[in-house]
Order: sequence, then C-alpha cells, then structure tokens
Amino acid sequence: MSDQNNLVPGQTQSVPFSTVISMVIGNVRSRIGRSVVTLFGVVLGASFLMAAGTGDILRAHFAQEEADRLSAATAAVNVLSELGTLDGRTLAVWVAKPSRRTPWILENINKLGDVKLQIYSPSSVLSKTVGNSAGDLAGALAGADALIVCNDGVDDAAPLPAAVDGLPGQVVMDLSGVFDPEALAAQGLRYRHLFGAGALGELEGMPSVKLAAGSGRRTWLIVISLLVSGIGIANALLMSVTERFREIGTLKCIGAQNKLVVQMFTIESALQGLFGSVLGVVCGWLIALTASAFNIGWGVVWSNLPWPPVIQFAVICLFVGIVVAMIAAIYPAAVATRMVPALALRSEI
Amino acid sequence: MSMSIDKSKLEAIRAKLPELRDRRHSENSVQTVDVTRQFQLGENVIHALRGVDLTVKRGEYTSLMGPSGTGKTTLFNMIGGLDKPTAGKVFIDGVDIAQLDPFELAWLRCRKIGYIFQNFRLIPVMTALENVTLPMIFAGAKADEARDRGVDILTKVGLGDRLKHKPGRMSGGQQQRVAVARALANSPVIVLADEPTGNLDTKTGEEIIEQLSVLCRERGVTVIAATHDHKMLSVSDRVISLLDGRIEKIRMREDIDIKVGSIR
Ligand SMILES: Nc1ncnc2c1ncn2[C@@H]1O[C@H](COP(=O)(O)OP(=O)(O)OP(=O)(O)O)[C@@H](O)[C@H]1O
Ligand SMILES: [Mg+2]
Repeated sequence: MSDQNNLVPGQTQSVPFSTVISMVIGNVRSRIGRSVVTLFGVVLGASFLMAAGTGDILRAHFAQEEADRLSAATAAVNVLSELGTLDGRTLAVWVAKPSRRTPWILENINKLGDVKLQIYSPSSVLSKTVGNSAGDLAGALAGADALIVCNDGVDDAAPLPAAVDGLPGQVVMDLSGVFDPEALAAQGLRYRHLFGAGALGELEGMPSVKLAAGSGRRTWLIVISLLVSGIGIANALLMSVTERFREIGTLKCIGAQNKLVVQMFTIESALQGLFGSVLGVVCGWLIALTASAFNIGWGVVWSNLPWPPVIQFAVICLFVGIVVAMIAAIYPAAVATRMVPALALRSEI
Repeated sequence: MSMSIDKSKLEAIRAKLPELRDRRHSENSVQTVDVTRQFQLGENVIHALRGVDLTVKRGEYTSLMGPSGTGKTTLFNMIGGLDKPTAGKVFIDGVDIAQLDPFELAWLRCRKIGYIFQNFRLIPVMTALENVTLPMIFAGAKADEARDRGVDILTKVGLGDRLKHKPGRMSGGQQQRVAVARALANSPVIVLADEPTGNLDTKTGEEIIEQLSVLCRERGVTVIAATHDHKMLSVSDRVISLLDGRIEKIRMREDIDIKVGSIR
C-alpha cells in the first residue's frame, strides 16, 4: 500500500471508453422519454437539411433529364422532316459514341414511322431494343437510305470512314456536328447536323448539383433549423445536469475526473446526434423523393435516381448533425464540471 | 475526446514528486488549521465551522460527536476535498489540498480517501457491484480485476447475494453496506465515515464498526467517524466533540472506557 501514501498519481486514470459508453446508455435508458423528445428535435433539423439538399439534387437531375429527352425528341423529328417520311425507310445508325440520349433518339425515330434501323454500335443493348445489329459500318449501310451518326459529346472532327462512299446522294445526319460539311459535299453527300455542339454546351450548363444552389433565404432557414436542434439538445442536456446533480456530484466525490464528466455528456450528445440525423436523413430523403415524384411521376424518379450525389449529401448531413450535437454539449458539460461536489451531497434523496 | 491524460501535466506532477515525498513522512495524516466555513443564505450568514484545529495521526481512530447541525458533515467535506474552506487550511499527509489542481484533487478523492456518505449516495441506475467497482475503474483498474475485487468486498460486508441489485431494491442497511464497500474499494489510507451505522441494526452496525477498527489496527488506516453510537466510541483512540462549529472537547480512549454509557 506504500504507493498510495503518495499524493501523486502514479497511474493514468482513464475510464475505458466502453465503460463510459455503457454509463451513457444506462443514463439514456433511465430517461428514455426525454431522450426521445431530444432525438425528435435532431430528426426535424436533419430531415429539413436533407430534404432541402436532396430536393435541389433531384430537381437539377431531372431538369437535365427532361432537357435530354426533349432534345432527343427534337432530333427524331428533324430526321423525319429531313427524309419527308420514315415509312418503309431503312436507316443506318452508327453509334460512334453512345450517350444517354442515344436510345431515346432511336426510340423516337421508331415511333415516328415504320422504319428499319440497322445499327452499328459498340453497345449491343441498343440494337436489341430498337433495331437490328450490324457487324460493321458497311453492313449497317447496306441498302440504307440515310446514315445517322450518333457521336454525342465528341468534339474532335472525325474523318468519315470509307464505307460511307457507298451512300452517294444520301443524307448523313450527324447528331453532334463533328464532320466537316464541305468535305461531305465534295463527296456528293447531303449533310445535316441535327443538334450542334452549341446545344450540347447549353445542356451541360444546367444548374449544378450543389448545396445552396437554392436561394439565400432557404440557406438561412436551414441554418436556423440546425441552430434550433442544437439549442434543443443543449437544453435537454442542461436539464439532465440539473436532474443528475446528485449523481454527477457523487461521481466527482468518489474521484471521477472532470474529463469523464465531459466525456459522458459529449458521448450522450453525439449518440443523439448520430441516431437523430440517421432518422432525419431517411425522413428528409423520403420527403424530397415524394415531392419530386409528385412533379414528374414515380416511374421516372425510380428509373433514374442520382445516387452518388445523394449519398454524398447524406454523409454531409450525418456529419453536420453529429457536430451540431457535440457543440451543443459544450456548455452543459462545462456547467457539470464547475459543480461543487459537496453541494450535490446535500440534496435529499 | 482523447482518452489519455495530458502528458505534460503528468510530467509536471512527477517533477513535484521529491518535494511531496518529503512532506509525506510527516506523522500527521489529517490536519486542519483554523478551518472556517460560512454559507451565505440570502441575507444571513450561516457559520457551519468557526475555526477548527484538528490533528489526526496516521492509523488513528477518531470519533466525531455532536448534535445535529454542528458541522460534522461540513468538516468531512473539507477534509475529503469536496468543498473549500472559507478560511483556514486542510493538510492531507502534510500537503495543503488548496494547492492541488482539479486533476490531483480527483485523484486524492479516488485513491487516498474512502468516504462513507451520510446518506449513502449510491448511483441509483447502477447495481451494487457496479457502484463498488466504479472507484476502481476511476483508479485505472481493469474491468475483470475490479469485478473480482468488488465481489470480494461486497461478500465481506455480507452482500455476496445482492451483487446485481440496484440501490432502489435494497434496504437502508444494505445500501449503507454497499456504501461502506465502495469507500473501501481502492484500499484508502484515510476513511471518512459520516454516521456509518446510522441506518443499521445493532448487529450489522457492530460488524461495520468491527471492520473499520480492524482496518485501522491491522492496516494502519486512519479512520475518522462521525457518530452518535456509543459502541463506536469504545473502539476509538480519541473522541472529539463538536459544538456549534467549534471543537468543544477532546477525550482520549482511557477517559472514554471509564465513562462509556454516560458520554454525550
Ligand atoms: N450548502 C449549505 N448551504 C447552507 N447551509 C449549509 C450548507 N451546508 C451546511 N449548512 C449548514 O451548516 C450547518 C452544519 O451542517 P452539517 O451538515 O455539517 O451538520 P452535521 O453536524 O453533519 O449534522 P447531522 O448530524 O444532522 O448530519 C447546518 O446549520 C447546515 O444548515
Ligand atoms: Mg451530517
């Protein structure tokens, strides 16, 4: 026992993390009602943030999709007007570079008349759904009235392959305007491009999928809602300090370090932040999803959800929720550590 | 949220070691010098302690007597480092505890002093065993080590079959014994017992008194016990009577033995 006569810590006195956690869980469980109410505040704040943020993401995403579908329909109509009628025609389709629009364009062309599509494409999916597949460009061109080049998004002018020479006097329709019109005219080909690079550029300039893409006013609303949840947590923890006055005092009386008291509050708060924001993220996502489905229909929304930015934003929400909760714990924890232990002993049972 | 203690702080404490060791050899376990404690209650000032000079030697068994409200608990809180005197000094093993920082003070309460509180002060949401192992865990003991020792101590106070019970489901006497077990958890060198037999029947009360006196005689633990119980006086080396925040009289064991039963 000789080392205990020493008035000096010989050993670090850290309570294991697992013990602190189980103490915190015990406390939350014994005051479950209030914990749930606090949690609900966090859920509200986090779901507001999540709904606003993912609402932006969805809106931008589906605006892009709508614009793409519209331009695909326009391209198909342009093909029709170029050829007069599509009934009984055979069209060679060279999908040099497929894009999201490509299948929509071909589907639309199919709808506009009794047309036969001979598709030469690196992606076999296209020909299965909208036409026949050809092994090479020459195969696709056999008996064709016109060639449609789907070269979406490729800017560098590619030379037309020699196989096109077998298509004199026919229309080459270029969906991105990469060919040199004069060279084609010299070959005796009629040439149109159905939407140009300029139109694509416009599409790419659609609203970017970022937080705060919306108005400044809504950003404020989000900040305020987070503040309100933070204050809610702080208030609940302060109540907890008052309520557990005796208990915390007793812990200090039997030798708990201030660090432990701070840890208990920070962890309790962080747990509430974590669970609250997980629930909030789920709720907020459902709200945003429902709102956008209300505008454009469940089918469209389900078929094409922009998962990566949504998940990224959900992670941000979780992080923000936990950080706000932990900041909220600072003041109550400070109050608890400043408490004089002897006073806690006086209050009666 | 770092789980380890500030290294620089530990270094600073280690640097103070030699000086502290020198003082440690003083014979005095507990010493109070003119300790005064006043409480401000609105307009009124309550004088709970009006200058208490008390010196307790290492391994001594001291009983503290006095009518309710004379400042026994207040004095214990001063000695235990739970409260600060309005004036005066408290020395534990020769060290002025006013000089300790919060970390050292917590260490003192945890490792050096075992405090049996007047009204138990168990943690209601924890079982008897958890209550007893808590100070050990604060002291850095491993969980299974602490559990084994906790079971041991609780069995010694006769609660071997109540390990998993929460305080709310125990009688006053049983809670009292858990409080005793908790105070002894880290083998303290000083035990402060604030009416440790107040809620016990004669037999259990005697057992607790017996345990405290064994601790004192065999392990050299300094015991200071507030009591109204005359049986407790017969095991004491000294009996100090407190009246109205002052030491009224100090009697040695020899005097008490003759007058047992008549002391007030
Ligand atoms: N925090 C406080 N605020 C105001 N007055 C206090 C406080 N603590 C103690 N007192 C007063 O100090 C005096 C001494 O109280 P203390 O608890 O030390 O008495 P005691 O000797 O332990 O009594 P008992 O035998 O009833 O336990 C009492 O008059 C009490 O009202
Ligand atoms: Mg008292």
